[in-house]
Amino acid sequence: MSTTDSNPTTESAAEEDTLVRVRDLKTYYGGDGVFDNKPVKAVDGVSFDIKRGETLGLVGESGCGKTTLGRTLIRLEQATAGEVSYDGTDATALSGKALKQWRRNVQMVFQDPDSSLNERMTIGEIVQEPLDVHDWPYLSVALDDAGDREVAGDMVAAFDIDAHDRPDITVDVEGGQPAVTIREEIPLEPERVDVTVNDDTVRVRVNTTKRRLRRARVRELLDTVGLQPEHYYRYPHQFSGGQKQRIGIARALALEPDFVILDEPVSALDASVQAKILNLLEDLQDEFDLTYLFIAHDLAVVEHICDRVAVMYLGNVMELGPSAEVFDDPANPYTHSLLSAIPEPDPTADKQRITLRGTPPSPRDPPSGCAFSTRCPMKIRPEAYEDIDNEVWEAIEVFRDVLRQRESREKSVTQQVFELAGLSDPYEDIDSLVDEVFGDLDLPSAVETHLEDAVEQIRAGESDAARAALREEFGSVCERERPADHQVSTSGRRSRCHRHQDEYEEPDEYLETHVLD
Amino acid sequence: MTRARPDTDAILSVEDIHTAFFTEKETVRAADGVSFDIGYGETVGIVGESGSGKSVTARSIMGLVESPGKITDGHIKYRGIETVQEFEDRYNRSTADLSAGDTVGDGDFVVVEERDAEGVVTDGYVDIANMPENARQRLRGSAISMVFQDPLTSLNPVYTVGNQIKEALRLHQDLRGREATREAIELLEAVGIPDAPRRVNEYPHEFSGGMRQRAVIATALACDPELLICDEPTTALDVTIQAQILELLKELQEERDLSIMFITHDMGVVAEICDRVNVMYAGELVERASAVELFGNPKHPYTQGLLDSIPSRNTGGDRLSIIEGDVETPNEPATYCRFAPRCPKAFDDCDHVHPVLVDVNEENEDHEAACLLYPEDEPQEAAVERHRSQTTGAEVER
Repeated sequence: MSTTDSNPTTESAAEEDTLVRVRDLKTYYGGDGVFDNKPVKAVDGVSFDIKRGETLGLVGESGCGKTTLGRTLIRLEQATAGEVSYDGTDATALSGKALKQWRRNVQMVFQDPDSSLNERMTIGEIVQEPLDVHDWPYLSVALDDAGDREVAGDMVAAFDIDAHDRPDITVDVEGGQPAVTIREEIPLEPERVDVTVNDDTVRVRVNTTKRRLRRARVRELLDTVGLQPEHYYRYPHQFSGGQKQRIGIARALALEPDFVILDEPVSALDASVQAKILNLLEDLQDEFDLTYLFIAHDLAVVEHICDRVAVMYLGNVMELGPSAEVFDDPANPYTHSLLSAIPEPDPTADKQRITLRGTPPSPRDPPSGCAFSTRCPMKIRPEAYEDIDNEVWEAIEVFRDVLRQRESREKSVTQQVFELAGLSDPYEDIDSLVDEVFGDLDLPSAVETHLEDAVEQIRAGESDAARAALREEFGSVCERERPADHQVSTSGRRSRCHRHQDEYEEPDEYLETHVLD
Repeated sequence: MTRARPDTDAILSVEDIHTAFFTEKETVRAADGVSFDIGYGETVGIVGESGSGKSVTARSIMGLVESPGKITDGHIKYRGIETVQEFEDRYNRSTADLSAGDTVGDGDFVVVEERDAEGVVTDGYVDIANMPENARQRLRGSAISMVFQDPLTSLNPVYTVGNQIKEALRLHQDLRGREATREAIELLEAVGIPDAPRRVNEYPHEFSGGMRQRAVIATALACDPELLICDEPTTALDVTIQAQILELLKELQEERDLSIMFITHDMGVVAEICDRVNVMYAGELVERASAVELFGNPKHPYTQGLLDSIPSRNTGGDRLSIIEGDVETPNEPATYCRFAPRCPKAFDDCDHVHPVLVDVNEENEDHEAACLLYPEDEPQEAAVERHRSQTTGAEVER
């Protein structure tokens, strides 16, 4: 095992194949107010690459920051720090025309087809809207063997590599009889294009209107996503969930993007409809060479459709690697727990389950050290307590968690005033709390002494000191230091956990020997 | 905690229930002749896609069908003996005492089948489909409770969680004040909420999603129900939280001897928690079997298609298999198989004969499918004839 630096794939030879490169990306909300000075760390230092033509899955529980990450990548949210480069250009620095052009290349399909389609627009209008906004088609003309001649004409423009990826119309002037070729995506027949070659210009006349071309494009798109031509004039409420999602996909594809972010595109759909949409997405990827970022919480779906997968927890990528590896042989304790929680559609499956305690902490107040340390079943224990009974350890963790939650809970103003004035003690029920958590557990004397000390301190009103003492005694490297990314397989898979260091037992070994027994 | 059990082994029998929604445009037969049993201490799953009628079936049992919906026919027999005893006492006029030679008349919704030597009712049922609203209200929340999908909409944001549990305790058990608070704390502890004495005074927005669903379950358990109806209770939750809630339901079932009706579209959850499974399609039950049998040996083409479309069962191929077409709205009487237009195995008779639930073959007594292909050990024509003869004229007219 080796620790990699923050550029985990720089050694990869396929550097030129990288379409999206994300480095140490952070998106924080708030934190700039006068009173409210703790920001919500929705995305907290994330790095990864997406290769051209691949599907990268982004999984995690709600609130882990996966949607914010997706939205930050296409600049629907402003990144707080870090770098997002797209095909070599830094997307966070773009503005004006360049930004507009970049936006054509990255599109998003949203989770809820009900709220992402305007109910007052027909399907045709909805899918056509991006074409209108970006004045599609640009009808850029490239000339072959035209010497010094320039392009002239009302609707057309000379091809400019900075503004367009590829020419819409190519005119080969060689041999006096100009030959016109038109890009496949433009619904225009070469017969409708008249070319006159003059001495210093090539005049190109298109015998149709942009409106007509757009409408034809919309019809093509509807057909591509499996909708009928008559759907053009209908309204969103006349469609089922699966059909609405097809409309959302058609709209995302309208401007011929290279990169599409799919934010839970099938979560709201029934299983049989879900399968149809997943198949459609795979077909479209093959047909149009799309690169996907697939955000989902359904791990089975991700395993099916993604080449690689990133597992997120509380703004951090905990593990990132090829899907097959991550699902068959997870390295990170969080991935282990997440996979073990999926109910399998097989009642005879005899799976040993890790049930996580509690819920993820608030991203406003993430734990110091490892993000997963408050719930991790494989947390490194201090040497003195390595062989302590699991139930006792669990009880200590619960006790500390309750103290932590009470401390961070938002209090009403009256409550705060009362506490400041010493009229109300937030820990008046400390004895019953201890009783509830530890009950009739048989505590080793070392544990008991420290607990009693902590309870004493809490009674004396020094709850912060008590928490610090407990942390000193029962805490470990997991709470003190942020874990580094460790490479865990030859494919470049990485996992963020202290247990990958040589001096500790690996997560899967520890799982076998300590957690499941 | 064990309860006295009568000889019949089902606590709830749904018999040929029809619930329809009458709109100007059409009549939607959301539940169209649904029958199933729930045994004591058993978890019975109802699965199906949206629009299959699973939630309407649950709401019919709870008496929560709202206008323009109406239960048009059928019986929902609840056999919880304490309830029958209480209802016999309270609704004497609407009681039919079969043990004394009565017959069940119009308007009778309490039926006594057996009494012991002292005259105490030992067997009988109350018919939820035919009882007046005030009687239903007495049943709802006490003997039968329901947990809904979205915990945020089933909790009132302006009352503390404790208050909402205490409301149930006051209405059904007449507990008030300190006593009620103590009970509420105990319930929150029972559903695994740490630091319950403090959290009982908090508002729903101070709870996380998983905690809220635990609180909803605590409210549902407040009056010690015998039957818990869970309508997609984990659909809005994350997998790790879902695992916690499923584990909690299993524990509670064991401790309290609960019967659970579990509605979901997630086949993984069904496999995890259900003993027996009913599969619904377009308002009708199309297959029922034990969970092990259903997943290991699905018989109805719809169940087969549904299971095949789940990504995690599709380990081999690149493409997911799909069921062509969409679910039709059940807006006319079923005189044919409603799945036939989408069925890969459909043949001519499927368009003319309405399939009924039959045993799939002779060996398998606990596995039924509503499909003309079954019983599979009978020649096709005989099987079709069996389905045809069981669809009576009356049913067609309805």
